Parts: sequence; C-alpha cells; structure tokens
Amino acid sequence: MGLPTVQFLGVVGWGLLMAWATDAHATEPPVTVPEGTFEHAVLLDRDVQTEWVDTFRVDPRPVSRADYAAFVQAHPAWRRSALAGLFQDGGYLKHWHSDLEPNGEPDAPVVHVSWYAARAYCQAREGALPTLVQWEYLANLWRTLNEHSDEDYANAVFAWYGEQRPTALRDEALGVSGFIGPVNEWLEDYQLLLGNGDQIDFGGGSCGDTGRLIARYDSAHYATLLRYQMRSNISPETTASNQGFRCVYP
Amino acid sequence: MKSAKLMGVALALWSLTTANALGADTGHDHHNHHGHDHHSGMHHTPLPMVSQVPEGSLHQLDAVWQTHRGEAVTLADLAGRPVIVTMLYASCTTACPVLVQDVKRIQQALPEAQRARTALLLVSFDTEGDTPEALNQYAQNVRADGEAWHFATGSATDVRTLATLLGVRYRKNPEGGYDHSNVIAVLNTKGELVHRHEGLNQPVTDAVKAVSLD
Repeated sequence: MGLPTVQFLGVVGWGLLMAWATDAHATEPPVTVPEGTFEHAVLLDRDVQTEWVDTFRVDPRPVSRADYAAFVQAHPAWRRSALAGLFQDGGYLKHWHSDLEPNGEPDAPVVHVSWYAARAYCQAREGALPTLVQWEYLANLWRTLNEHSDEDYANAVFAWYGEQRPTALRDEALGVSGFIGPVNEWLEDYQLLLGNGDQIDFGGGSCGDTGRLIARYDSAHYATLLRYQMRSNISPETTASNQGFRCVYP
Repeated sequence: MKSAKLMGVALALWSLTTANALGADTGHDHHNHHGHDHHSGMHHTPLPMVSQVPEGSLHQLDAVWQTHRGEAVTLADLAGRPVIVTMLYASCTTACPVLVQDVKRIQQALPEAQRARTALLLVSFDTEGDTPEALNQYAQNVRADGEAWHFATGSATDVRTLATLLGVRYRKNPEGGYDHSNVIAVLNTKGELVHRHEGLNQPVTDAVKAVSLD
C-alpha cells in the first residue's frame, strides 16, 4: 500500500481531497464487523455485564503513515508546523522529515499523533475513533476467531507492557489485524469513569479500584484490565512512539 | 437517576509519566516530551486564527454551540470575557442543579465589574434530549436566565472534545442518563484554562480569584 498515485500528479484543492478520500478507501476498504453481544471484562458499571453491539465498519489495520500524510496534505491545520499546543504535547509527528514526509515505512502505523489529531483524521474520512466497547468487542472477536487461549492472550499483553518484545500471536480475523501489536490505539471514550452503584468515579480509577471490578479473577481478565488502565492514563495531547489508531464507520 | 447521585468524586488527572513508560517499555524509541515545548529546529508557522490566541487557548475549538436562547455561540465569540464553564444535562435531578448553584455562587461572589462581563457556559452531555427549547425550560426551572447564562448543546463529537479539554469524564448509563465527573472550569479572556475544580459544593474562592486575575 502506498499513497494513491493520483496524489503525485499535482492535483490540488478539491480534486486532491476527493482523490484522497476515495482512493484511501479503495486501497484499504473498511471491514464489516458483525453485530453481537459484548461481555465486559472490566465492569465499568457494576450493573452492566453485557451489552449489544450493532454492526459497524472498521479499518483493517491501524492508519498508516502514508494515509496520514495524505490527510495533512489535504488539511493544513493538522500539519506539524501548524498544530497548536492545545491539541498536542510538542512531539506531534516529530520524526517526520517535513510537514508532509513521513519517516520510516509508508505502510507502518502512524505514531506520535495525539487523540485530537486521530479524531480529526477519522472525521475527515467521515468516520470516528472506535468507542471503547466497539474496539474491545472487536478484540474479543479477534481472540476467539484466532483461537488464542486466555493464557496466550494474557502473556502477549503482559509482554507488550513488559521488557520482552511482544509475543507473536496470529493476528488476523475478519480481515482485521494489528491487535496487541505495534501500537496501542486511541479510542473515542478511552478515559475511564468508574461507577459502583450510586458512586461515580469513586476511586478515580486507580489500579486498586479497578481491581475489584473485573468480571473474573484470571490472567486474561487482569491483562484486559491492565490495557484499560494504561490506556486511560494517557492524556489526550500525548504523542507517543507506540500510540496509533484506526477509524470506524457507520 | 443514578447519574445524579454523585458522591466520592475524585480528581481524575493522570500522570503523564505513564505515556513515557509505555513508550519506553516496548522497545520503540521513547523520546516523548510532554509540556508545550516547541519542536526543536522546526519553524512554526501558525495559522492566522492560531496566531491571534495563545497556544493553549480553548478559543481554538471551532465547535458551534446552540444556546437556550436559540443563539449560535463559539468559545471564540466569548473572547474578551472570562467564562465559567461546566457540563451537565437537564434531566439530571440531583448533581446538576448543584452544579448550577455552584456556578451561581461563583458569579455572586464576583466583584460587580467582573460579574457584569463574565459569561457562564453550561454545556449538556445529552445531545439528543437537550434541545435549545429543553435547555430554555431548564434555565427557567433553575432560575438562571440572565444575560450571562448560556445553557448550550452541540454535536456529540464537540461535547466529547470540550469534556476532554476540561478533564470531564462521562459515559451514558443504562437508564438513559449520563454518569459524569463534576467539574467547574474558568477560562480567561483569551480562552486559557486558568482554574479547574472537581466536586460539588466546593469553596468558590479560587474560581473567583481566577476570574478576577484577568
């Protein structure tokens, strides 16, 4: 996958925007995720253990640097030299060679993008960041369809956050990949607000509080809790070297 | 309404060090810098809009809010006025009226000159139920309909953006309401966040001071 050829022809203005929008979709068409029931591993609300998820479409893998370059080409306000400190921490696209030239492999996931930037990208594609429930539902499907044991899943997650290189797990289901892989992914509502009956956000979501809220006390649930917790701790203007995203569409 | 029964609200500002730990622990490069330092060796050419306001100004948020008086307002429209901001929703019966009272207490504690120019912005989480008409009814119910008051609704995306900028966490609950943290923030005349407190029935002194600094 690379930049759509048409972008190198010097097409400007609406032509470029339209070419980007259509070609990007043509290159990496979103994948349809079937509707189903999501079982919460982390009980954000004491009374909600399962919920229904409607069908949605999702990018098959995290957004690439080439895709993101096309976005900033079409939306100058989101170029590195233009983006204000309100929406990033100072490290936005810091390794790019210039405003429009990504570093590394064009196919590699874009990183060093803040939550605000990730959302702007998805909005420009008439999509949105996945909700926490959508992404976790998809991750559960990914585990099931790839037949990853709870133990293998847990080990992969712990390795991701630990010293080792992430354990290589088969990473393909429904034509969607990139889970517990190169990047942690931004979500629309990634910041946790914890409810326990009448009490809302009773512990501020520290590890000790969430620990009593996992549905089962096994390693896979702990692994998921760890992911929720670490993700929630990232402030939205953060631009980290292992933080990327993908979009969903109605 | 569960959302209304807010207790034990805790400050949910997270340490930025976690993100550094993430970057460092996974074997990728970890030159993450936090804070608003400029990129070294890079020229900033801010957009014209950006150049008129400080780097951290919320006036850069282009969201258009529909107020209970049927007006369309952006944060930039309120430039030159300090703004007290909170987020709530009309069908919330316990916590949200307290938030309104808290805003009212801050307003009443302001010196008169400050009071006359300070805008009060109360943005709803409930983008479906809280139409401008519903918010107008709400403003009457809580007796907060003076010129300074702006009960407002907007798109779900813009509500999420504002909440994130203000450090407000919320989630729709199964009863159709919203669980949320209770935050009151003060923006100065340039749109910078100069005060923020969490919880109900908090002392007004710091918020008053923040408004008066400007």
